[in-house]
Amino acid sequence: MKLSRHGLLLAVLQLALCAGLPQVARAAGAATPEAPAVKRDARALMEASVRRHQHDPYVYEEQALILIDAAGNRSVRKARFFLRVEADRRMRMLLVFDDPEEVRGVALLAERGAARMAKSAVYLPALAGGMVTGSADTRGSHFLGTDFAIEDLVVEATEDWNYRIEGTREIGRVPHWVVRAEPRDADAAATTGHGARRHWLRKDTLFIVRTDYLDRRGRLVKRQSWRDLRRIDADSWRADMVLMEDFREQHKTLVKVERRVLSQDYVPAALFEPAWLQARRHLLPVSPDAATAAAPAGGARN
Amino acid sequence: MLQTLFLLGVERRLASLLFIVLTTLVAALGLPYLAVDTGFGRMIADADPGKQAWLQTARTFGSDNRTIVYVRDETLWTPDKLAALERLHHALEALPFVERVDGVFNLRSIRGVAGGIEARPIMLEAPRDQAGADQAREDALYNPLVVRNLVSPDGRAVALVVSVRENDTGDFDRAAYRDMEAVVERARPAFTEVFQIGPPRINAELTASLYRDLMVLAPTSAALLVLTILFFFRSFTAALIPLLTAGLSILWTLGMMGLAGIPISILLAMLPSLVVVIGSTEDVHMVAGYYRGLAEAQAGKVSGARAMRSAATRIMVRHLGVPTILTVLTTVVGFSSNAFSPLGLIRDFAIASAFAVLANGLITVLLVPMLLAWFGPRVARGLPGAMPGGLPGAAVRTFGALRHRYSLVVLVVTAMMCGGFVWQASKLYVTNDPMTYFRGDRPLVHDTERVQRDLSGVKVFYITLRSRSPKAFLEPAQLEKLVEIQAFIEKQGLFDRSLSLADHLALVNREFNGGKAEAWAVPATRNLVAQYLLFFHRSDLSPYVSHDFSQANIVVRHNVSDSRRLNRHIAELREAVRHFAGPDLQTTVTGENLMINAAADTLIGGQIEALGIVLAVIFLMMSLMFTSLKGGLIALVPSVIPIILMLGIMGLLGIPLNPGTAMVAVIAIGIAIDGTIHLFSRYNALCRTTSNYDEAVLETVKDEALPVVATSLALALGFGVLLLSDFTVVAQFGALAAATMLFSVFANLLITPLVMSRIRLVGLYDILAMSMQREVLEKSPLFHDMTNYQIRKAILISELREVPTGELLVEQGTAGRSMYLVLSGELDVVRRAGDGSERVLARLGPGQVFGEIGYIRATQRTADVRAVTPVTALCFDHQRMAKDLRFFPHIVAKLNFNISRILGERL
Repeated sequence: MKLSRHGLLLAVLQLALCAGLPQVARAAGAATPEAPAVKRDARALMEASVRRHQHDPYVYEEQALILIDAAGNRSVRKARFFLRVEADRRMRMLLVFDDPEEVRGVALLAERGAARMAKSAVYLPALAGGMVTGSADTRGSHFLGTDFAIEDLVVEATEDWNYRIEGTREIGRVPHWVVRAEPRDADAAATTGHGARRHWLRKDTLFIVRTDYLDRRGRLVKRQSWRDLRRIDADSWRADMVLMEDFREQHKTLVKVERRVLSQDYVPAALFEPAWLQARRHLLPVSPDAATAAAPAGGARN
Repeated sequence: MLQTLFLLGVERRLASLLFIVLTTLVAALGLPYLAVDTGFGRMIADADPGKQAWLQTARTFGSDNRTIVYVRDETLWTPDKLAALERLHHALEALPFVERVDGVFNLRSIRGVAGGIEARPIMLEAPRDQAGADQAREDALYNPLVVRNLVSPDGRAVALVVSVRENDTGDFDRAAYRDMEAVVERARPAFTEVFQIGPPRINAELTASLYRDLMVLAPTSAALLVLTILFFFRSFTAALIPLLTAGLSILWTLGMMGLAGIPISILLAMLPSLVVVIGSTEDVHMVAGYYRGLAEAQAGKVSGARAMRSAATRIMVRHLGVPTILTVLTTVVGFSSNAFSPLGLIRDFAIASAFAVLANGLITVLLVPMLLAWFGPRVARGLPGAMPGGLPGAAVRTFGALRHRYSLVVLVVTAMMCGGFVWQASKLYVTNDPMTYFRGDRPLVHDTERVQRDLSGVKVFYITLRSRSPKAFLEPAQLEKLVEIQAFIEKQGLFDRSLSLADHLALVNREFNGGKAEAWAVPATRNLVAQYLLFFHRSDLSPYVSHDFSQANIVVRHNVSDSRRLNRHIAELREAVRHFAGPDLQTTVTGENLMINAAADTLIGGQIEALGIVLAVIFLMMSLMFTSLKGGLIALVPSVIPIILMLGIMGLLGIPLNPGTAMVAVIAIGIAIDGTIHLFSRYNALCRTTSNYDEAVLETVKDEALPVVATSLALALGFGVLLLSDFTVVAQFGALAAATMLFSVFANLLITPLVMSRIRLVGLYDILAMSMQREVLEKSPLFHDMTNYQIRKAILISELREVPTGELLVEQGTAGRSMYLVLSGELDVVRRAGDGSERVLARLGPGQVFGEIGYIRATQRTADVRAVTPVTALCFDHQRMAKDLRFFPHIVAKLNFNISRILGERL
């Protein structure tokens, strides 16, 4: 099946926090044949990667966000993550903090349409009025104190990028394609706070295990790595752990997915309405019945 | 023994040369290990209790050791200029030793916009159009955390704050400065002004100046010294001797420093110059003593060049042995008085310079007599006791006239002058700020002032509040304490600005409240504090709050150089911080520059202590060496007067006490006392041959005027050379030391003789080294019941007479008040009758006493006493003993008692 441009765009909208790039996992160290259906063309590799692992429109995750500073000090936040891709191809996501107590109920709401622009809003329970809209231009900004920017949470739209295979490298004896991605034009470049990116795709599954973010002068400034890979179905994989390293700030954010449910019941459309947040309904469990039946981290579909 | 030591070089020439050559070779082995250290660590007191707190604070909140790259341009906020600024930012980031660069390109703006909030970088990249540049400027100037921190209030100047990775490599700072300067140089054409300020530049400039000082000061000092000695002695040999001894001393000292791990610091850069200057004083005295020896040898009909040199050298050694050892020791005491200073900079200087003086003393003792006996001049200049010519002569005549006619006036005027200068000295202030080490016209100083004017001072300190409870600084009540402390800092009016977590929260609070000025406040609830903080990245907050929010930090910037003023305000601030923080929080006010400035207090305390020690040691030494407490006390007067004058001048001219100037007093005392020692020694020697002490004083001044004036002038010129130093501290040290040396001429030639004539000195060494016929003296009734020491001292306060055969010591019919003790030889007591016949009444031999009747009562002598062999006798003059009763009451009383016994027995 060939995806349209918008379809592809929506399909690639994925939150890094929920390890959104489906991956193909295999036993570490074992030699694995290359994915047979993919031509050795950079764009084809990237599109195939997206196609294999981007088909879940409803994602619910319970996460631990661990912030690690240069001295190794850690602070932990607990959060729930909701993702929903609508029939009109809009992608909406919600991140709700549950712990620590002082930030309980803080929520980030983000939406991305077919166009490049994104909009976001923040709900602060301690603030009179609670809801505050965020900036449309989120390039280079950090996401609620983490090392993620909203643009990092969204998998790149392949049509906005030019790809080139730089070669093959091994990570832990597993061969990977190294694909360099550069904005196709000035408009595309204006959507990102970085310059080029370098993706590391496992040859066997086309799973992106690492993305290096380069600044406009080609220096490595951030690195996102996907670990603890878990098979979702025959071709689709997800990572239960995502690490974002910011080399300039010497800071890291580790996301551990403690529970994942791929079910529409967990991400009702109403969740993404500001009114839902202002009524503080996001503080309550969405579906207690479903919650009891939910699978542990790794994913389960209802 | 001393003479044996001094004559080692003459009598054991080869062995002495071998010792010098071998020691020089060993020292040369240490030279490759010699290092240069201009770091600030040596300006901080070792025992500073804040050191640990500072290290802990730096670990938690990041180091205060950062370089500011200042950029100024009238049209800075245009796409082209911002593009150049971005290139500069990235080029600095690309340097391998740079940890991070903070500037407008990674500055985050939090700003309320219609219905929402924007939290994003002010500029990710240089804007492509003027509208973007204007917006960036507006965003930057809107943020109070940025203005006067990274951007000047008029927007025309910005700072890039460069954090450098920790690196202890010796040459790191210079390399870092060079690399950053290369980047800055490339950016220079794009802007009106761009420069860097920070530890690498300061250290690099300190090092460059240090090398320049090493290259300039010592050769200039040497040249001046040679010219001065040539001027006074007209002898190339006399001029070259100090150069040779100084050169060897410098080599030995640098070798020792290399082996002992003492690096060359800004103070030690002047050491070669000091060694040339100070080391020359003994050489000059020895050369002067040698000339005096030549004159005496000529008068004694010694002939032949070799014999003349040898005789002159031995005479010089006999006269100068004790004073040379004493002056070397006092100078060593002066320099080493700071050997236990808690400041590495001063301690190293004290150890190395004391070693240098000691080494110079040893080399001088071994080498100078050897060279003089070998190659010394053959023609004497002037006769012994002749009035010197030129400047020394003029000084002798002028001071002599003043002393003679207006002695009381001189003393009163001197006392009043000292009083006035003590009052001026009370205005002294102290500084230990490294920036004050540089001359005011240096670009570095100008640049630092520029940064302070447009942004804030480049010096930083931290105020840290610690709680035992994690998350304490999420509580508004605790955050309010930061606000109160910052308000107090504002009220103090000394520091440029302060930043804290409270400011960051106030900014977000204001922006969430539509940018209203009245909303610039700490949020009201703990939850709102925590939720606002989500708008910052952890790295934005790391200088202000610990990761667990149990500690908060206020970063204060300033440009204060007056250490005492700073220390006073910091003490006041510490008190206020404790008050505002309350009992549940621990507080620390710390920073590297605070510790450096705090060391200024240590500096004053240390110098007062060192001054006390030096004065006490010199007092004890002089009292012991001249066996007179009064002499020890009086010896301090001519040394203390120049110091008082120097401190007064510092107060008058606003010269601060700093690591350089603070040492002048103790070092100058150690040097100025040298002249006094030579004067005392000469006076002591002359007193043994005359009972007219005023005459002895006059002779002493005549003899010593040339070396005192010559050495003081040479020292003043040598110290004056330090004015050429690149460092203010060294130049000030040089100027003050030069002035003190000139004051010491006045003190030594006017005040010392005035006070000296009021004392009678006997050298301890003379007592111990005196060879006497023990049996003769112990059996003499004059010394009945006296200890060996008392006998020796009694002999030394008497007058020694050597009488050839046939000469009369006492003449019948004359009035004489002297009594004699025969040491050697024989004399006849002869009574002449009216008809001219003579009758020998007695023959006197060693140990016997005669003339005691005349000594007791003024009466005519009843017989002649004539030497029948060459006779050596001690003469005890009544008038002299009456005077000496004041100085040596115990001994004179015993002598008088024994004379009474002798008379009693004869009756």
